[in-house]
Amino acid sequence: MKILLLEDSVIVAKLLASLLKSRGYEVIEAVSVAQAMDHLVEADIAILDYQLPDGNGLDVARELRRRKPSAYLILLTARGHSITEREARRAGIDQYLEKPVEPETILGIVEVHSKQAAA
Amino acid sequence: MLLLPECIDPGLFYFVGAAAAFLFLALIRCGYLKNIIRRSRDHYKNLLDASPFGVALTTSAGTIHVANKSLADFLGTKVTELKGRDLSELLGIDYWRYYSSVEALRPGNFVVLPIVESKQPDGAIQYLTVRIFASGSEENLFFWHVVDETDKIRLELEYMELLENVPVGIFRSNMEGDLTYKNHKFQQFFENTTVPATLNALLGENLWTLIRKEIIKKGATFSTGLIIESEGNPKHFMFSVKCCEYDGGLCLAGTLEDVTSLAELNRRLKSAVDKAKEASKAKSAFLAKMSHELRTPLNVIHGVAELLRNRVTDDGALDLINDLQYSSEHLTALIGDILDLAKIESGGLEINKEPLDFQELINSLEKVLGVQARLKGLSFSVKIRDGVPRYFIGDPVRIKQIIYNLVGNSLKFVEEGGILIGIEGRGQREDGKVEIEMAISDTGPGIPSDVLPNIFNPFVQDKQGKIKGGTGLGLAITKELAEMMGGSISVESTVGLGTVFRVRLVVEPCQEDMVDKVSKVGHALDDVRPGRALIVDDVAMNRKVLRLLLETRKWGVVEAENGQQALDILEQDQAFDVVLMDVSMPVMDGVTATKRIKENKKTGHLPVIGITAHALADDKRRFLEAGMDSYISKPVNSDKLWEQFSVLSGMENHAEGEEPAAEKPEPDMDDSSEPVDMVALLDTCQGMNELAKELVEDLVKESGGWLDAAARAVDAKNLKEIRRVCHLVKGTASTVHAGELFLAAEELGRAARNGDMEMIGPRLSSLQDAVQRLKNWYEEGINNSEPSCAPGLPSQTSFGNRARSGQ
Repeated sequence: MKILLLEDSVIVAKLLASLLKSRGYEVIEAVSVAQAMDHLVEADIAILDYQLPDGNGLDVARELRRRKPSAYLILLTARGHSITEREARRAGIDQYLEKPVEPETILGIVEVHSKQAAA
Repeated sequence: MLLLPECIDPGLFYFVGAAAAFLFLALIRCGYLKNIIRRSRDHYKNLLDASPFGVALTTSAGTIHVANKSLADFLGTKVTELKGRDLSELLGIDYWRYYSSVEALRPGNFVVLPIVESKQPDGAIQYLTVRIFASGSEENLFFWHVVDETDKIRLELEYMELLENVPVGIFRSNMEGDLTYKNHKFQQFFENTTVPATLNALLGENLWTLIRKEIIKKGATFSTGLIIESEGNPKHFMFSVKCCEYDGGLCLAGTLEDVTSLAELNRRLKSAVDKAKEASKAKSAFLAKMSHELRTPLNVIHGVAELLRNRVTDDGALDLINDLQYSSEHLTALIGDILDLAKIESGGLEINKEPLDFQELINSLEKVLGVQARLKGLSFSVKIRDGVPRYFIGDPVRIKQIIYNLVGNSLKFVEEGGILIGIEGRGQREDGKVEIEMAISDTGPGIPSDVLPNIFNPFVQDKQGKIKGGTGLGLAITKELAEMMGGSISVESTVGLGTVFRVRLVVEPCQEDMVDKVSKVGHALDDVRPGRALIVDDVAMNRKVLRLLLETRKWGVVEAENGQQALDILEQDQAFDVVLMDVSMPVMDGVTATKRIKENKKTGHLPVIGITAHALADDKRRFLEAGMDSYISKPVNSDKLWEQFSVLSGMENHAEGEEPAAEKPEPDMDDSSEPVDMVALLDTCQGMNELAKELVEDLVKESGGWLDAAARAVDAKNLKEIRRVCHLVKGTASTVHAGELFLAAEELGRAARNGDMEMIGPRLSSLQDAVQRLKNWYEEGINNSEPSCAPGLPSQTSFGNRARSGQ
């Protein structure tokens, strides 16, 4: 199971990546929309931050949905962004999470999904 | 012997005789049997007619051979008219649809036809259940068994009608989530889209998986909010489901309710609450600002009055000056109280937790309050009884404030007798904490019973209170303080006898060696030698008051109007003993100027005392961190000034390495929480020490870059960029549990969002302070060779210790 982790805060990214790796997932880290675009087809699951220096997570979600419909997409967004869950769903997001999100929650969702995908 | 005619064969005669006898007997027997059969048939007929079920025997085509009375009644006819009729036609059944299954029936088996609705002659509808049994007879006959279920079906229909007409969606599904029943309303919700066929489709996979787990695990009702799009508009639903028994197995039954209008109402309420909170914050900010504005002129009034007192010898004039001083002191107290209450109300007042020596605290109170009581001719004593820990963790300033307020009240009202403070332990709790009760009893006039219940509300005073003065806020503050410390306060009073206030506090005992022994410095004014001071203040009147106060002690004074001017003066002349620095000034503020003075090798040694009307905790911390050696809050009087001078001179005389005894920061500014909550972080990292350590290192490294980016954005007035940086800081800080950094970024972000250019500067410095504190804390941890003593030391050993202590 490969996970694309798009998060511009290197610290948050490091934390999530470490936790995911410790559970045996392969993690592809990206800090910008451009970097993420290079790895779209590899990802089975994508964890996308909304606000990024060169765009937003939904741009990646739309492209990812088009290129790899089976991928499971998680969006992390901060309260106060104008984006609603509805918009996120339209862009193909499967799970919409408002920050602050406990890493444990993300791990739980990833785990549930990967088990279902494996079944 | 019977003689037979010869022509008759005797054999024949015997035969005929036997036959006749047989026939006779047979005839008799036949009648008997017929009788038996008739009776038996009557029995069956009676039995059939008595049965409440309709029964008939028909051919395979449905033609009636025999029928009972109940069947005739159901059909509104007579038994005699039924024979030979087509039963299916009479019942109105499309019999040929079922013919093949009826034909194929084996003896003993039956088929059940759908409920038959038959109209009675009186027009009433009757609901019949029809079962057809194979009789097993050679003629291939069939038994029809017809039951009137009108009552049962009517009840069912009534329930069904109810279910279909309630304004709530109702559904049932099997345990796999396939929806087996959906009422009308449920389907209506999906009018313009497809009605979901499964709970999975309705809820989405994650939620469905979760619900399935929850329901099976707990067997309780599971409820959740759902947003479902309908005609492009999101609608809010309340979804509830429960596992229940059904048809010998289990099923899920639940409701779906449209709560869009409720959600909208909720949203509006929330926005109203947010607005109210904003307004409350604005009020607090206004109060803080007002108190600043009020204290500054008050400072002048107070200082001038004190100077006048030294110059005036006329008794009448002295009285007037006393009044002036008394009023300004009262006003100062009132401002302090209002500010305290505002801070409590806005949640801005924090209770400090530090190890303290309760005995010493009480001793110091006893000295001050005892003098005041004796001056009024009252007795005053403090008794600490058993069970009170001498050393515990608490907020000494706030505990003192509570006792001062209560005893101060008594001192105001008691004319005869005295005041007694009794302190006793109320026992240790399971968690090791101890409850102590402080009872402050007096022999005052007592509080009337109609005022008593409201005595802790702000501005509630009885007649006496109004005569004696006071802010009317003391008890309200005292109650809030006690409650903030996890305690309570109560009052008993009898008019003419006196009053007892009881304060209960829950405290955590600690070891003596944890108590910070601040080195005592003599406050003797004589210790202060005359010297030379640089006064930096933009308000001429303030400079004048300070100058006059200093000159009474033969000090030399140089004045500067702002920070820049002070730096210019110091560039030429460093022969000062102290710099008295105002904070808010045009051109260059006091904090910046202090930083420059301390950075400069030529002036770095000069003690700087901040003079501030800023009462907020954060500001005070900022002053000390900028390098101020101590600060004096306005209004400045000679006592405060000389106390600080003496402290500073004591500091100079101290051996290097000893702790300076500057006025200690107030407890609510001394945030006890650490820049990073290591216990929480380690928990987030799921016990990975190295990871937590790296994250803290990264946070320290990254924070410098964030600050630069934020500062550049502030310089360029690029609000969007400020918000972007703050967003990044917040996201990271919240993840690694860096609370202070998070709050500072949030505040700056908010100022940028509101376009509040005035606030952006101070918010940026708060962020800088937060980062600085983080760095200091981190370096302290790194440099400290003894891991167990370091606060939040980011080393592996320390992580281990902290994680354990946090469990």
